[in-house]
Amino acid sequence: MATKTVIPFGPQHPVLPEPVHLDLVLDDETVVEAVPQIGFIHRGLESLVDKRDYKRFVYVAERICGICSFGHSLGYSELVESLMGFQAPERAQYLRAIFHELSRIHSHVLWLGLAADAFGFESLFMHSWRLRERILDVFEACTGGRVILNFCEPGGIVRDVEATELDGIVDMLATWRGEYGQIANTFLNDSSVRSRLCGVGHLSREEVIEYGCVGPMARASGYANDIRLAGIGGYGHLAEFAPVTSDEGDCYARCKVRVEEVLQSVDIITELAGKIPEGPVFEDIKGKPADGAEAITRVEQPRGEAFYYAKGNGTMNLERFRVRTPTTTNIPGMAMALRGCDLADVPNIIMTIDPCISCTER
Amino acid sequence: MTTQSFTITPIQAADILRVARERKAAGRRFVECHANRPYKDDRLEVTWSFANDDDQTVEVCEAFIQKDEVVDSVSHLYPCAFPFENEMHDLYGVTVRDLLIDYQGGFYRLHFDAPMLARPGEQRVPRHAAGNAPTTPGDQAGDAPATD
Repeated sequence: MATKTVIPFGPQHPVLPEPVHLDLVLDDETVVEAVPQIGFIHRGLESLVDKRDYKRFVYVAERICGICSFGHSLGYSELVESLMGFQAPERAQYLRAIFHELSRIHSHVLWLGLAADAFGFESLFMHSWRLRERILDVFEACTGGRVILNFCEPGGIVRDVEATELDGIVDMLATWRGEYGQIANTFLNDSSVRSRLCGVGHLSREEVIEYGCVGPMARASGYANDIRLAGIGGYGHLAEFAPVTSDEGDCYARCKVRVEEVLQSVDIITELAGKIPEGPVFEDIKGKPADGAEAITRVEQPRGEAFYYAKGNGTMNLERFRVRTPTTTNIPGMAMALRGCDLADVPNIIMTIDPCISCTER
Repeated sequence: MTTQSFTITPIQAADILRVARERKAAGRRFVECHANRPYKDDRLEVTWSFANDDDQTVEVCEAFIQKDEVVDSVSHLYPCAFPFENEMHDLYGVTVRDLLIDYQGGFYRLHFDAPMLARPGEQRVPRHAAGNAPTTPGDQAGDAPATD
Protein backbone atom coordinates (compact mmCIF):
# COMPACT_ATOMS: atom_id res chain seq x y z
CA MET A 1 0.00 0.00 0.00
CA ALA A 2 1.36 3.44 -0.95
CA THR A 3 2.27 5.85 1.81
CA LYS A 4 1.56 9.55 1.66
CA THR A 5 4.49 11.84 1.15
CA VAL A 6 4.69 15.58 1.70
CA ILE A 7 6.86 17.42 -0.81
CA PRO A 8 7.70 21.08 -0.23
CA PHE A 9 7.31 23.01 -3.50
CA GLY A 10 8.93 26.44 -3.45
CA PRO A 11 9.30 29.16 -2.35
CA GLN A 12 12.29 29.01 -4.69
CA HIS A 13 11.56 26.89 -7.73
CA PRO A 14 12.60 27.19 -11.39
CA VAL A 15 9.01 27.61 -12.54
CA LEU A 16 8.11 30.28 -9.99
CA PRO A 17 8.90 33.88 -10.90
CA GLU A 18 7.97 34.90 -7.35
CA PRO A 19 8.08 33.07 -4.03
CA VAL A 20 5.11 30.94 -3.08
CA HIS A 21 5.29 27.71 -1.14
CA LEU A 22 3.09 24.65 -1.44
CA ASP A 23 3.03 21.58 0.72
CA LEU A 24 2.10 18.88 -1.77
CA VAL A 25 0.67 15.75 -0.15
CA LEU A 26 1.29 12.88 -2.56
CA ASP A 27 -0.09 9.40 -2.88
CA ASP A 28 2.55 7.82 -5.12
CA GLU A 29 2.81 10.39 -7.95
CA THR A 30 -0.67 11.83 -7.44
CA VAL A 31 -1.30 15.04 -5.51
CA VAL A 32 -4.07 14.49 -2.97
CA GLU A 33 -3.81 17.86 -1.23
CA ALA A 34 -1.95 21.12 -1.74
CA VAL A 35 -1.62 23.65 1.09
CA PRO A 36 -0.45 27.06 -0.12
CA GLN A 37 1.77 29.38 1.89
CA ILE A 38 2.68 32.95 1.01
CA GLY A 39 4.17 35.70 3.15
CA PHE A 40 7.75 35.83 1.94
CA ILE A 41 7.62 39.32 0.43
CA HIS A 42 4.97 41.20 2.39
CA ARG A 43 5.81 44.91 2.26
CA GLY A 44 2.95 46.57 4.11
CA LEU A 45 2.25 49.03 1.28
CA GLU A 46 -1.33 49.59 2.41
CA SER A 47 -0.12 51.07 5.68
CA LEU A 48 1.82 53.77 3.79
CA VAL A 49 -1.38 55.81 3.46
CA ASP A 50 -0.24 57.18 6.84
CA LYS A 51 2.89 58.60 5.23
CA ARG A 52 1.74 59.81 1.80
CA ASP A 53 -1.15 62.10 1.04
CA TYR A 54 -3.91 60.72 -1.13
CA LYS A 55 -2.53 62.25 -4.33
CA ARG A 56 1.07 61.14 -3.88
CA PHE A 57 0.05 57.66 -2.78
CA VAL A 58 -0.56 56.76 -6.43
CA TYR A 59 3.21 56.29 -6.76
CA VAL A 60 3.08 53.68 -4.02
CA ALA A 61 -0.03 52.03 -5.49
CA GLU A 62 1.68 51.74 -8.87
CA ARG A 63 4.56 49.89 -7.26
CA ILE A 64 2.34 47.15 -5.85
CA CYS A 65 3.28 45.14 -8.92
CA GLY A 66 5.75 45.50 -11.76
CA ILE A 67 3.57 43.74 -14.33
CA CYS A 68 0.18 45.34 -13.75
CA SER A 69 1.62 48.62 -12.47
CA PHE A 70 -0.53 50.71 -14.78
CA GLY A 71 -3.63 48.82 -13.69
CA HIS A 72 -2.93 49.61 -10.04
CA SER A 73 -2.41 53.30 -10.75
CA LEU A 74 -5.66 53.22 -12.74
CA GLY A 75 -7.53 51.46 -9.95
CA TYR A 76 -6.21 53.81 -7.28
CA SER A 77 -6.88 56.92 -9.39
CA GLU A 78 -10.47 55.91 -10.11
CA LEU A 79 -10.92 55.01 -6.44
CA VAL A 80 -9.82 58.48 -5.33
CA GLU A 81 -11.92 60.13 -8.03
CA SER A 82 -14.93 58.15 -6.84
CA LEU A 83 -14.16 59.12 -3.23
CA MET A 84 -13.97 62.80 -4.20
CA GLY A 85 -16.96 62.76 -6.56
CA PHE A 86 -14.71 63.65 -9.47
CA GLN A 87 -14.77 62.44 -13.05
CA ALA A 88 -11.64 62.35 -15.19
CA PRO A 89 -11.77 64.13 -18.59
CA GLU A 90 -13.13 61.95 -21.38
CA ARG A 91 -9.89 61.90 -23.36
CA ALA A 92 -8.07 60.69 -20.25
CA GLN A 93 -10.59 57.86 -19.91
CA TYR A 94 -9.82 56.74 -23.46
CA LEU A 95 -6.07 56.95 -22.90
CA ARG A 96 -6.39 55.03 -19.66
CA ALA A 97 -8.30 52.29 -21.46
CA ILE A 98 -5.73 52.15 -24.27
CA PHE A 99 -2.78 51.87 -21.88
CA HIS A 100 -4.59 49.40 -19.69
CA GLU A 101 -5.12 47.18 -22.73
CA LEU A 102 -1.47 47.58 -23.71
CA SER A 103 -0.62 46.45 -20.17
CA ARG A 104 -2.88 43.45 -20.62
CA ILE A 105 -1.06 42.53 -23.84
CA HIS A 106 2.33 42.85 -22.19
CA SER A 107 1.22 40.86 -19.15
CA HIS A 108 -0.40 38.05 -21.14
CA VAL A 109 2.55 37.75 -23.53
CA LEU A 110 4.92 37.71 -20.58
CA TRP A 111 2.79 34.94 -19.09
CA LEU A 112 2.74 33.01 -22.36
CA GLY A 113 6.54 33.07 -22.32
CA LEU A 114 6.69 31.86 -18.74
CA ALA A 115 4.16 29.13 -19.47
CA ALA A 116 6.18 28.00 -22.50
CA ASP A 117 9.27 27.87 -20.31
CA ALA A 118 7.34 25.84 -17.70
CA PHE A 119 6.34 23.18 -20.19
CA GLY A 120 9.78 23.09 -21.74
CA PHE A 121 9.33 25.02 -25.00
CA GLU A 122 12.20 27.46 -24.69
CA SER A 123 12.14 28.95 -28.19
CA LEU A 124 8.46 29.81 -27.74
CA PHE A 125 9.37 31.52 -24.48
CA MET A 126 11.98 33.65 -26.28
CA HIS A 127 9.65 34.61 -29.13
CA SER A 128 6.94 35.58 -26.65
CA TRP A 129 9.25 37.85 -24.72
CA ARG A 130 10.66 39.31 -27.94
CA LEU A 131 7.15 40.43 -28.84
CA ARG A 132 6.58 41.75 -25.34
CA GLU A 133 9.57 44.05 -25.72
CA ARG A 134 7.79 45.84 -28.55
CA ILE A 135 4.94 46.74 -26.18
CA LEU A 136 7.43 47.97 -23.60
CA ASP A 137 8.99 50.12 -26.35
CA VAL A 138 5.59 51.80 -26.79
CA PHE A 139 5.42 52.48 -23.05
CA GLU A 140 8.89 53.97 -23.11
CA ALA A 141 8.15 56.18 -26.12
CA CYS A 142 4.92 57.53 -24.66
CA THR A 143 5.69 57.71 -20.94
CA GLY A 144 9.44 57.41 -20.48
CA GLY A 145 9.07 54.25 -18.41
CA ARG A 146 9.00 50.61 -19.41
CA VAL A 147 7.65 49.05 -16.21
CA ILE A 148 6.64 51.84 -13.81
CA LEU A 149 4.97 54.38 -16.05
CA ASN A 150 3.86 57.19 -13.69
CA PHE A 151 1.30 57.99 -16.35
CA CYS A 152 -2.05 57.79 -14.57
CA GLU A 153 -2.88 59.93 -11.54
CA PRO A 154 -6.02 61.02 -9.71
CA GLY A 155 -7.41 63.65 -12.07
CA GLY A 156 -6.48 62.05 -15.38
CA ILE A 157 -3.32 61.34 -17.35
CA VAL A 158 -0.12 63.30 -16.71
CA ARG A 159 0.87 63.62 -20.38
CA ASP A 160 -1.23 63.72 -23.52
CA VAL A 161 -0.48 61.30 -26.33
CA GLU A 162 -0.42 62.98 -29.71
CA ALA A 163 -2.53 61.72 -32.60
CA THR A 164 0.62 60.76 -34.51
CA GLU A 165 1.79 58.66 -31.55
CA LEU A 166 -1.59 56.92 -31.39
CA ASP A 167 -1.43 56.23 -35.13
CA GLY A 168 2.05 54.82 -34.60
CA ILE A 169 0.75 52.49 -31.88
CA VAL A 170 -2.09 51.27 -34.10
CA ASP A 171 0.29 50.70 -37.05
CA MET A 172 2.77 48.87 -34.84
CA LEU A 173 0.03 46.64 -33.44
CA ALA A 174 -1.18 45.80 -36.95
CA THR A 175 2.29 44.46 -37.79
CA TRP A 176 2.72 42.96 -34.35
CA ARG A 177 -0.54 41.07 -34.71
CA GLY A 178 0.83 39.10 -37.65
CA GLU A 179 3.91 38.00 -35.71
CA TYR A 180 1.83 37.25 -32.66
CA GLY A 181 -0.47 35.09 -34.78
CA GLN A 182 2.44 32.74 -35.43
CA ILE A 183 3.22 32.11 -31.76
CA ALA A 184 -0.52 32.04 -30.93
CA ASN A 185 -0.89 29.28 -33.51
CA THR A 186 1.87 27.32 -31.82
CA PHE A 187 0.32 27.75 -28.37
CA LEU A 188 -3.07 26.60 -29.59
CA ASN A 189 -2.19 23.88 -32.09
CA ASP A 190 1.23 22.43 -31.35
CA SER A 191 0.90 18.80 -30.32
CA SER A 192 3.53 19.01 -27.58
CA VAL A 193 1.80 22.02 -26.01
CA ARG A 194 -1.58 20.31 -26.17
CA SER A 195 -0.19 17.12 -24.66
CA ARG A 196 1.07 19.05 -21.63
CA LEU A 197 -2.02 21.23 -21.11
CA CYS A 198 -5.17 19.49 -22.34
CA GLY A 199 -7.19 17.86 -19.58
CA VAL A 200 -4.76 18.99 -16.88
CA GLY A 201 -5.85 20.95 -13.79
CA HIS A 202 -9.55 20.91 -14.60
CA LEU A 203 -11.96 23.23 -12.77
CA SER A 204 -15.67 23.19 -13.56
CA ARG A 205 -17.82 26.31 -13.77
CA GLU A 206 -19.39 25.40 -10.41
CA GLU A 207 -15.96 25.03 -8.83
CA VAL A 208 -14.65 28.40 -9.99
CA ILE A 209 -17.78 30.03 -8.57
CA GLU A 210 -17.45 28.06 -5.33
CA TYR A 211 -13.79 28.99 -4.92
CA GLY A 212 -14.23 32.62 -5.97
CA CYS A 213 -11.94 32.49 -9.00
CA VAL A 214 -11.71 35.57 -11.19
CA GLY A 215 -10.27 36.65 -14.51
CA PRO A 216 -9.06 34.26 -17.20
CA MET A 217 -9.09 31.42 -14.67
CA ALA A 218 -12.86 31.81 -14.22
CA ARG A 219 -13.57 32.62 -17.86
CA ALA A 220 -11.69 29.49 -18.97
CA SER A 221 -14.30 27.48 -17.07
CA GLY A 222 -17.21 29.25 -18.70
CA TYR A 223 -17.85 31.94 -16.06
CA ALA A 224 -18.18 35.06 -18.22
CA ASN A 225 -17.39 37.75 -15.67
CA ASP A 226 -15.32 40.68 -16.93
CA ILE A 227 -15.17 43.88 -14.88
CA ARG A 228 -14.14 45.85 -17.97
CA LEU A 229 -17.84 45.83 -18.81
CA ALA A 230 -18.92 47.28 -15.46
CA GLY A 231 -18.76 50.97 -14.64
CA ILE A 232 -15.79 52.64 -12.94
CA GLY A 233 -12.70 50.65 -13.76
CA GLY A 234 -14.44 49.43 -16.89
CA TYR A 235 -14.83 50.75 -20.40
CA GLY A 236 -17.58 48.67 -21.89
CA HIS A 237 -19.31 51.95 -22.75
CA LEU A 238 -16.28 53.10 -24.77
CA ALA A 239 -15.60 50.01 -26.88
CA GLU A 240 -17.53 47.03 -28.22
CA PHE A 241 -16.35 43.73 -26.83
CA ALA A 242 -17.53 40.66 -24.94
CA PRO A 243 -15.71 38.44 -22.43
CA VAL A 244 -13.49 35.74 -23.96
CA THR A 245 -14.57 32.42 -22.50
CA SER A 246 -13.98 28.72 -22.88
CA ASP A 247 -15.83 25.74 -21.44
CA GLU A 248 -13.02 23.21 -21.06
CA GLY A 249 -11.74 24.52 -17.69
CA ASP A 250 -8.28 22.97 -18.03
CA CYS A 251 -4.78 24.44 -18.41
CA TYR A 252 -5.20 24.56 -22.18
CA ALA A 253 -8.41 26.58 -21.85
CA ARG A 254 -6.70 29.08 -19.53
CA CYS A 255 -3.92 29.44 -22.08
CA LYS A 256 -6.42 29.80 -24.93
CA VAL A 257 -8.40 32.52 -23.15
CA ARG A 258 -5.25 34.59 -22.62
CA VAL A 259 -4.08 34.04 -26.21
CA GLU A 260 -7.44 35.30 -27.50
CA GLU A 261 -7.62 38.18 -25.02
CA VAL A 262 -4.40 39.57 -26.49
CA LEU A 263 -6.06 39.77 -29.91
CA GLN A 264 -9.15 41.29 -28.32
CA SER A 265 -6.99 43.94 -26.66
CA VAL A 266 -5.46 44.86 -30.02
CA ASP A 267 -9.00 45.31 -31.41
CA ILE A 268 -10.05 47.44 -28.43
CA ILE A 269 -6.99 49.70 -28.76
CA THR A 270 -7.57 50.11 -32.49
CA GLU A 271 -11.21 50.99 -31.92
CA LEU A 272 -10.50 53.46 -29.12
CA ALA A 273 -7.65 55.15 -30.99
CA GLY A 274 -10.00 55.73 -33.90
CA LYS A 275 -12.61 57.61 -31.90
CA ILE A 276 -10.73 59.23 -29.03
CA PRO A 277 -12.11 62.74 -28.46
CA GLU A 278 -10.00 65.88 -28.26
CA GLY A 279 -9.78 67.78 -24.99
CA PRO A 280 -7.86 68.09 -21.75
CA VAL A 281 -6.36 65.00 -20.14
CA PHE A 282 -5.94 66.23 -16.58
CA GLU A 283 -7.86 68.29 -14.04
CA ASP A 284 -6.54 68.86 -10.56
CA ILE A 285 -8.62 67.43 -7.72
CA LYS A 286 -9.14 69.98 -4.96
CA GLY A 287 -9.90 69.32 -1.32
CA LYS A 288 -9.63 66.43 1.09
CA PRO A 289 -11.63 63.21 1.33
CA ALA A 290 -14.50 63.76 3.77
CA ASP A 291 -14.40 62.17 7.19
CA GLY A 292 -16.05 58.76 6.92
CA ALA A 293 -16.35 58.88 3.12
CA GLU A 294 -15.95 55.45 1.56
CA ALA A 295 -15.50 54.29 -2.00
CA ILE A 296 -14.78 51.10 -3.87
CA THR A 297 -13.78 50.40 -7.41
CA ARG A 298 -12.94 47.27 -9.32
CA VAL A 299 -10.58 46.94 -12.25
CA GLU A 300 -10.14 43.98 -14.59
CA GLN A 301 -6.42 43.46 -14.30
CA PRO A 302 -4.75 40.94 -16.65
CA ARG A 303 -5.13 38.28 -13.94
CA GLY A 304 -8.70 39.18 -13.07
CA GLU A 305 -10.75 41.46 -10.87
CA ALA A 306 -8.81 43.72 -8.51
CA PHE A 307 -10.85 45.34 -5.75
CA TYR A 308 -9.92 48.71 -4.24
CA TYR A 309 -11.42 50.24 -1.10
CA ALA A 310 -10.67 53.57 0.54
CA LYS A 311 -11.97 55.43 3.56
CA GLY A 312 -11.30 59.09 4.24
CA ASN A 313 -10.95 60.81 7.60
CA GLY A 314 -11.04 64.49 6.68
CA THR A 315 -7.28 64.79 6.24
CA MET A 316 -5.01 64.59 3.22
CA ASN A 317 -4.18 60.99 4.23
CA LEU A 318 -6.63 58.18 3.76
CA GLU A 319 -7.67 56.33 6.87
CA ARG A 320 -7.65 52.98 5.10
CA PHE A 321 -6.66 51.82 1.66
CA ARG A 322 -7.27 48.25 0.68
CA VAL A 323 -6.36 46.26 -2.44
CA ARG A 324 -7.59 42.76 -3.07
CA THR A 325 -5.67 41.41 -6.01
CA PRO A 326 -6.86 38.59 -8.31
CA THR A 327 -4.14 36.11 -7.37
CA THR A 328 -5.22 36.17 -3.71
CA THR A 329 -8.65 34.90 -4.60
CA ASN A 330 -7.37 32.49 -7.26
CA ILE A 331 -5.04 30.64 -4.88
CA PRO A 332 -7.78 28.45 -3.30
CA GLY A 333 -8.95 27.51 -6.81
CA MET A 334 -5.39 26.64 -7.73
CA ALA A 335 -5.12 24.39 -4.67
CA MET A 336 -8.29 22.62 -5.81
CA ALA A 337 -7.03 22.25 -9.38
CA LEU A 338 -3.89 20.58 -8.03
CA ARG A 339 -5.86 17.84 -6.31
CA GLY A 340 -5.66 14.64 -8.31
CA CYS A 341 -3.00 15.83 -10.72
CA ASP A 342 0.35 14.20 -11.39
CA LEU A 343 3.39 15.68 -9.69
CA ALA A 344 4.86 16.51 -13.14
CA ASP A 345 1.82 18.68 -13.94
CA VAL A 346 2.08 20.84 -10.80
CA PRO A 347 4.25 23.55 -12.44
CA ASN A 348 1.84 23.89 -15.38
CA ILE A 349 -1.20 24.21 -13.14
CA ILE A 350 0.48 26.82 -10.96
CA MET A 351 1.56 28.77 -14.02
CA THR A 352 -1.90 28.78 -15.57
CA ILE A 353 -3.36 30.84 -12.73
CA ASP A 354 -0.67 33.40 -13.64
CA PRO A 355 0.32 33.94 -10.00
CA CYS A 356 1.51 37.40 -9.03
CA ILE A 357 2.76 37.18 -5.49
CA SER A 358 3.94 40.80 -5.27
CA CYS A 359 0.35 41.86 -5.89
CA THR A 360 -0.97 39.31 -3.46
CA GLU A 361 1.22 40.34 -0.54
CA ARG A 362 1.49 44.06 -1.27
CA MET B 1 -19.38 57.12 -17.62
CA THR B 2 -21.38 54.53 -15.77
CA THR B 3 -20.69 53.97 -12.09
CA GLN B 4 -20.12 50.84 -10.10
CA SER B 5 -22.85 50.64 -7.56
CA PHE B 6 -22.06 49.61 -4.01
CA THR B 7 -23.97 49.63 -0.77
CA ILE B 8 -22.74 49.71 2.81
CA THR B 9 -24.60 47.53 5.29
CA PRO B 10 -23.82 47.93 9.01
CA ILE B 11 -23.98 44.56 10.76
CA GLN B 12 -23.07 43.05 14.11
CA ALA B 13 -19.87 40.97 13.93
CA ALA B 14 -21.68 38.14 15.73
CA ASP B 15 -24.09 37.94 12.79
CA ILE B 16 -21.49 37.47 10.07
CA LEU B 17 -22.13 33.74 9.64
CA ARG B 18 -25.85 34.36 9.16
CA VAL B 19 -25.12 37.23 6.78
CA ALA B 20 -22.64 35.16 4.81
CA ARG B 21 -25.06 32.24 4.59
CA GLU B 22 -27.75 34.54 3.23
CA ARG B 23 -25.37 36.05 0.67
CA LYS B 24 -24.19 32.61 -0.36
CA ALA B 25 -27.78 31.42 -0.79
CA ALA B 26 -28.47 34.49 -2.91
CA GLY B 27 -25.54 33.61 -5.19
CA ARG B 28 -23.25 36.43 -4.08
CA ARG B 29 -19.51 36.06 -4.65
CA PHE B 30 -17.14 36.74 -1.76
CA VAL B 31 -14.77 39.54 -2.74
CA GLU B 32 -12.63 40.14 0.34
CA CYS B 33 -12.60 41.01 4.01
CA HIS B 34 -10.29 43.29 5.90
CA ALA B 35 -9.84 45.09 9.21
CA ASN B 36 -9.25 48.74 9.91
CA ARG B 37 -8.23 50.73 12.96
CA PRO B 38 -10.08 54.05 12.83
CA TYR B 39 -8.12 57.06 14.02
CA LYS B 40 -10.88 58.24 16.32
CA ASP B 41 -11.97 54.94 17.76
CA ASP B 42 -10.27 52.27 19.87
CA ARG B 43 -12.42 49.58 18.33
CA LEU B 44 -11.59 47.77 15.11
CA GLU B 45 -13.70 47.95 12.01
CA VAL B 46 -14.09 44.70 10.09
CA THR B 47 -15.47 44.68 6.56
CA TRP B 48 -16.74 41.87 4.34
CA SER B 49 -17.57 42.51 0.67
CA PHE B 50 -19.88 40.46 -1.53
CA ALA B 51 -20.38 40.94 -5.26
CA ASN B 52 -23.48 40.34 -7.33
CA ASP B 53 -22.07 39.43 -10.73
CA ASP B 54 -25.50 39.61 -12.38
CA ASP B 55 -25.93 43.35 -11.90
CA GLN B 56 -22.29 44.17 -11.02
CA THR B 57 -23.05 45.60 -7.60
CA VAL B 58 -21.03 45.15 -4.43
CA GLU B 59 -22.32 45.05 -0.88
CA VAL B 60 -19.88 46.08 1.85
CA CYS B 61 -20.89 44.75 5.29
CA GLU B 62 -19.22 46.60 8.15
CA ALA B 63 -19.01 45.81 11.84
CA PHE B 64 -17.15 47.31 14.79
CA ILE B 65 -15.51 44.93 17.24
CA GLN B 66 -13.50 45.22 20.43
CA LYS B 67 -9.85 44.27 20.12
CA ASP B 68 -10.30 41.02 22.05
CA GLU B 69 -13.54 40.05 20.31
CA VAL B 70 -13.60 36.81 18.35
CA VAL B 71 -15.00 36.80 14.81
CA ASP B 72 -16.41 33.73 13.07
CA SER B 73 -14.68 32.60 9.91
CA VAL B 74 -16.72 32.51 6.71
CA SER B 75 -14.14 30.29 5.00
CA HIS B 76 -16.33 27.17 5.33
CA LEU B 77 -18.95 28.97 3.25
CA TYR B 78 -16.49 30.80 1.01
CA PRO B 79 -13.17 28.87 0.85
CA CYS B 80 -11.43 31.81 -0.81
CA ALA B 81 -11.83 33.79 2.44
CA PHE B 82 -9.04 32.02 4.33
CA PRO B 83 -6.15 34.20 3.07
CA PHE B 84 -7.99 37.38 4.07
CA GLU B 85 -8.94 36.07 7.49
CA ASN B 86 -5.39 34.95 8.22
CA GLU B 87 -4.21 38.36 7.07
CA MET B 88 -6.66 40.10 9.41
CA HIS B 89 -5.26 38.07 12.26
CA ASP B 90 -1.62 38.69 11.42
CA LEU B 91 -1.85 42.41 10.62
CA TYR B 92 -4.56 43.55 13.04
CA GLY B 93 -4.63 40.83 15.69
CA VAL B 94 -8.26 39.91 14.98
CA THR B 95 -8.98 36.44 16.32
CA VAL B 96 -10.91 34.45 13.73
CA ARG B 97 -12.65 31.26 14.84
CA ASP B 98 -12.87 28.03 12.77
CA LEU B 99 -10.60 29.00 9.92
CA LEU B 100 -10.51 26.57 7.00
CA ILE B 101 -6.72 26.83 6.93
CA ASP B 102 -5.24 28.38 10.06
CA TYR B 103 -1.64 29.57 9.74
CA GLN B 104 -1.65 30.47 13.46
CA GLY B 105 0.11 33.77 13.02
CA GLY B 106 2.54 32.55 10.36
CA PHE B 107 0.71 33.71 7.25
CA TYR B 108 3.08 36.67 6.90
CA ARG B 109 6.64 36.69 8.19
CA LEU B 110 6.29 39.74 10.40
CA HIS B 111 8.74 41.45 12.70
CA PHE B 112 6.01 42.68 15.06
CA ASP B 113 2.69 41.27 16.22
CA ALA B 114 -0.28 43.05 14.62
CA PRO B 115 1.84 45.80 13.03
CA MET B 116 -1.14 47.67 11.58
CA LEU B 117 -2.42 48.39 15.10
CA ALA B 118 0.61 50.54 15.90
CA ARG B 119 0.10 54.28 16.17
CA PRO B 120 2.77 56.46 14.48
CA GLY B 121 5.86 56.68 16.72
CA GLU B 122 4.75 53.84 18.99
CA GLN B 123 7.65 51.68 20.24
CA ARG B 124 6.94 47.97 19.97
CA VAL B 125 8.74 44.80 20.98
CA PRO B 126 9.70 42.52 18.07
CA ARG B 127 7.96 39.18 17.94
CA HIS B 128 11.01 37.06 18.53
CA ALA B 129 12.07 39.19 21.53
CA ALA B 130 8.60 38.86 23.02
CA GLY B 131 8.67 35.09 22.44
CA ASN B 132 5.67 35.27 20.12
CA ALA B 133 7.35 34.20 16.89
CA PRO B 134 5.27 31.39 15.37
CA THR B 135 6.82 28.28 13.93
CA THR B 136 6.19 29.29 10.38
CA PRO B 137 4.51 26.61 8.30
CA GLY B 138 6.47 25.72 5.20
CA ASP B 139 9.88 26.28 6.74
CA GLN B 140 10.37 22.56 7.00
CA ALA B 141 9.25 19.77 4.75
CA GLY B 142 5.94 18.38 5.89
CA ASP B 143 5.29 21.23 8.29
CA ALA B 144 1.90 22.13 6.90
CA PRO B 145 -0.52 24.58 8.54
CA ALA B 146 -3.53 23.19 10.32
CA THR B 147 -6.33 22.43 7.88
CA ASP B 148 -9.87 21.83 8.92
